[in-house]
Amino acid sequence: MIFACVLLQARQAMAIDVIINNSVPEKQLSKHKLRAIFTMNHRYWPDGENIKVYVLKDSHPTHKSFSRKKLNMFAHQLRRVWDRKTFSGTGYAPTIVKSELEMLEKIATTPFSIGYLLKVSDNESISTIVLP
Amino acid sequence: MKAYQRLFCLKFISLLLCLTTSSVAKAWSLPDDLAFHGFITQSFFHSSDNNFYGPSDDGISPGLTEIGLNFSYQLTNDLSLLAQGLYRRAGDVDNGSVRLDYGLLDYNLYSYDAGQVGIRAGRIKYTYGLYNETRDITFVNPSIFLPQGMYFDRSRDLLVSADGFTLYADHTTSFGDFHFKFNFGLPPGDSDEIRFAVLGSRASGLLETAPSSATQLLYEANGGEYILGLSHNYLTLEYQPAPGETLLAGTTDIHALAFSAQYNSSNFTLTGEFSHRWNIFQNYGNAAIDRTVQSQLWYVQASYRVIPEVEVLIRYEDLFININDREGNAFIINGEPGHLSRATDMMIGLRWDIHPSWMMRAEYHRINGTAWLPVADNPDLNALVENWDLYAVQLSYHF
Repeated sequence: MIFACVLLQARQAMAIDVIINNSVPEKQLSKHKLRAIFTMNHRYWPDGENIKVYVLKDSHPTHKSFSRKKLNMFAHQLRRVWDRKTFSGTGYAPTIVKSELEMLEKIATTPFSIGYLLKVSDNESISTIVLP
Repeated sequence: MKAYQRLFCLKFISLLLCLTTSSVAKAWSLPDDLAFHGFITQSFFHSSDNNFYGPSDDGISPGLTEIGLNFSYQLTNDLSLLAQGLYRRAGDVDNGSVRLDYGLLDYNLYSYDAGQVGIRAGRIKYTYGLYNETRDITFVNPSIFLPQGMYFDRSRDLLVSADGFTLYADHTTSFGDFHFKFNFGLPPGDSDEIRFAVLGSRASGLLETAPSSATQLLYEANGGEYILGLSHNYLTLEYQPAPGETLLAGTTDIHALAFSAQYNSSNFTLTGEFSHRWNIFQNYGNAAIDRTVQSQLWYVQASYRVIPEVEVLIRYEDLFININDREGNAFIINGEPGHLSRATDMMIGLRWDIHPSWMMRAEYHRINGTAWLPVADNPDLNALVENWDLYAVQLSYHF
């Protein structure tokens, strides 16, 4: 019982940060724009640079939690949106990273990139984004 | 397909295969701007009567094999290259061929705070309704085969892709997203199936396609919870009669209008589409052909995810080739069965996602009418049975 409570608390405390490379001109994103970026519908930052989107694999708990809480979508819905684009020549899927560590490295080193993490450690090359 | 085109396609596929194989070996060095994807799908059919994707009647037809390989590469900030090769073998309609499904350059013309405008040129996919762009991509589609009244497989060449361009615009707002597409191009034509679908069994000449267009406006609310769509497709076909034939060199213009609606919740999806087609026949020199035929179809489908890996689907679809001749008198006068003019398909299906890359499906269809059956699979029209059952299973892998 105690174990279950701790788990429940841990789940509630699972805060996700949306992270961007410091080159990204936008420091604030509306929920619908964040969704448009991660569904790969919106492909350019306001200065015209291509948005580089990084995600963890579909079954990763952080990815599931990110889709649900930040995008209001289920991971399987997101996957279908990407597959529809990928196999019809009408768009792309985001680049998949293997771990949160790789996510951190990619966002820190890739200009105009966006991703997410369970919790953000101090790193001068990335910023978290403000969501209303 | 001409010999040089076949050679080109084969080279293209082998190039893709080489690139994919080497990409597996050197996965660590692949740039993030380059991506490869592919799939292989095999479907089997069995029917109580009539043949679908090969001799399914009282047997099992190894009906449909589809293999696709694609890549996308971001060349510059605004320009990318995307291509997909497709191998398809379908019953007696398509005995196995490789073709370039799409191969295009995508260029960003204008981007702004809430969206972008761009153009895709080359061999493009045609948009129509909710599923036409992905008609061969089974794992994003609801069923083994799409509603046949709306997404005809026998005359699929007219809608699958075309050589031309797509102008697209995406706009995001706080109350939903708008997606607009305008396609213009030349679809491949000139197949016996298309000629039969358009002109019936009387014609034996060549039916060739002229440049056509497809336009679509989609509205998606709350990340696709609600989707509304309006599509228009315009096709022109020009006929070259065979020597000694009584039909003259007429033209057929087809206007198709479709309304689409979908609701998606976490486990439940409800979809409905309605389409009205005007088929305008002119200058064939035959009063029975030179007229306007209006076709209509609609379907409603519901799917439910019982557990994350298993989905149940039901669908009801109704098609009339000519809404002013629901009994099919035009066929009867010609000595053919009247049920060629209609088809009602009630189906139930099961989808099992064995693994994120592997999917299995099984379906049962109870069908009244024969309007969308391929003639190549059923050369004797008078042997067709009006009420029939169709069973299908499918296995698909993608990466």
